[in-house]
Amino acid sequence: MRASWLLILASLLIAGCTTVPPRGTGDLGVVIERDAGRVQLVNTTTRSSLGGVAGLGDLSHASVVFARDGRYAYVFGRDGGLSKVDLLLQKIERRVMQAGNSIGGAISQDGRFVAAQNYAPGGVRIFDAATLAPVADIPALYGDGQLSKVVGLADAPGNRFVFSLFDAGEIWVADLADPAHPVITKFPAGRQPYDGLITPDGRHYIAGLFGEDGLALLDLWHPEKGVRRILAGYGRGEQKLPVYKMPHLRGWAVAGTRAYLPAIGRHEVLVVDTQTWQETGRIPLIGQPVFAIARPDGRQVWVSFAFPDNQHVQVIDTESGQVAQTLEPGRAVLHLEFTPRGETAWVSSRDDGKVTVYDTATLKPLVELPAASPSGIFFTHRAGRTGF
Amino acid sequence: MDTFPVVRRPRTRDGGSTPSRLRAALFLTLMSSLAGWAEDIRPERKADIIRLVRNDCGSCHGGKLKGGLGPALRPESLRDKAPESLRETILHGRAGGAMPPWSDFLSAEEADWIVEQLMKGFPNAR
Repeated sequence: MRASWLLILASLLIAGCTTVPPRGTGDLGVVIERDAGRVQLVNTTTRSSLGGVAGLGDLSHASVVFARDGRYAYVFGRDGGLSKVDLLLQKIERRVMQAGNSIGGAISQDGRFVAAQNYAPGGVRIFDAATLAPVADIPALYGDGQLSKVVGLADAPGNRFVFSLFDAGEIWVADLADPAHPVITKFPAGRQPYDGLITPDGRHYIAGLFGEDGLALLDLWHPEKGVRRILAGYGRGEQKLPVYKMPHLRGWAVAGTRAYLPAIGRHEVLVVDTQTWQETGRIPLIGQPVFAIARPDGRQVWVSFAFPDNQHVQVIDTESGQVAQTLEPGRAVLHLEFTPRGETAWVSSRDDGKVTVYDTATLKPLVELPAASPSGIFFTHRAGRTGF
Repeated sequence: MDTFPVVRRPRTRDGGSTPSRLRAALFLTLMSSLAGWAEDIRPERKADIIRLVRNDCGSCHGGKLKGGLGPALRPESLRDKAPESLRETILHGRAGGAMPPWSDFLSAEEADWIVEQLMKGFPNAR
């Protein structure tokens, strides 16, 4: 009798120590549940939820990068919280408050540093990816000592970070060869860069400009050539349509030899040749595009929209350059993410409280996962991609 | 927390002290309150507006309205602003800026109500 009690006690103790059967993380991901300050962990093989990790603070406009081992998610909260979440043990491993108002982050090429981009205090802060100890602080100083909001932070080959200064109209490249003393090179970009992307090969950085018709392109192989304007005058001087949500740029916009870039104040994506950086076309859409994301094979580009058209997702067939289908996944679609090889796309609908998993071949929904006001969806294969 | 004051349009500015200016001001105030009474905002609509402000205004001003690419909309940051000009900005946007016009989605009374709520601390979505 006594022995069996001990046995039960022992097994309870063992169960209490969190043990996880050995597994990889290549098919895991997180869904931001913004109002709950929580991430839901998902499995993209079984297309199911694995649980959640709460206590992450204000997750409106939260974003995530992954450690290169795919085990840890770095969650950047709007309130300046930076949390390192263990996807296997499903817990917060470390957490720091690094700023007052933050908008996202990046991880260095070698995986040793995590960088956060901040609105307040405007600048970039760099942390040790293992411990989250501060490594360097880069205030975005311009004019007579003002601090600019920072947007469009991306990692670049050579352990560099590239980012844009919204208020200063500049692109900065920070070289972390000596991590505690980053060397900054500054480039004039144009009026009000609102976001930026680095191409999947890590060569070109592009900042979208809110304040003018066109985008700023920096060739990181030849930074001495400076920033070049591309798609100048794409609005043709026409009155801009109102923009109820700023588009987001990222390397996913590149499909094959073309990039699909949301126009500002126009209901279209601009198609640009990534060899010549000339416009090759534009595709009319039903609203202001926010995300234009290529399926990994580049055959489709899925587009989400700003209010009041955000119940739609349009799927562009890149071969014909036409919208193949308009989907209605739910109210307030905020984000979508492809599985690593693109057989499914996961789409979040904030106001319907669900994530819908689509078969990208048939464009039919396969399953819906309940989620509390879901926004961003992030899968671990981002860990191996430049610019994510 | 969940009780909202009756909609009231901002008081008309009384710029002078002459009786005719005063009469005009009183008349306008009366007209505005009548308009406010006529278009009282129903509680369900208020809940929708609260969600709209938190979510859609929040995409630039932050879900907690502490600012983003757009400025903070907390009471302390709006203290020195004229409610009328805030209402106009909500309805018609800012020329040359990023603020879009919301008059297709909100009436003047609803914009006034938003300004009033913002100035005293915006309610949370339920």
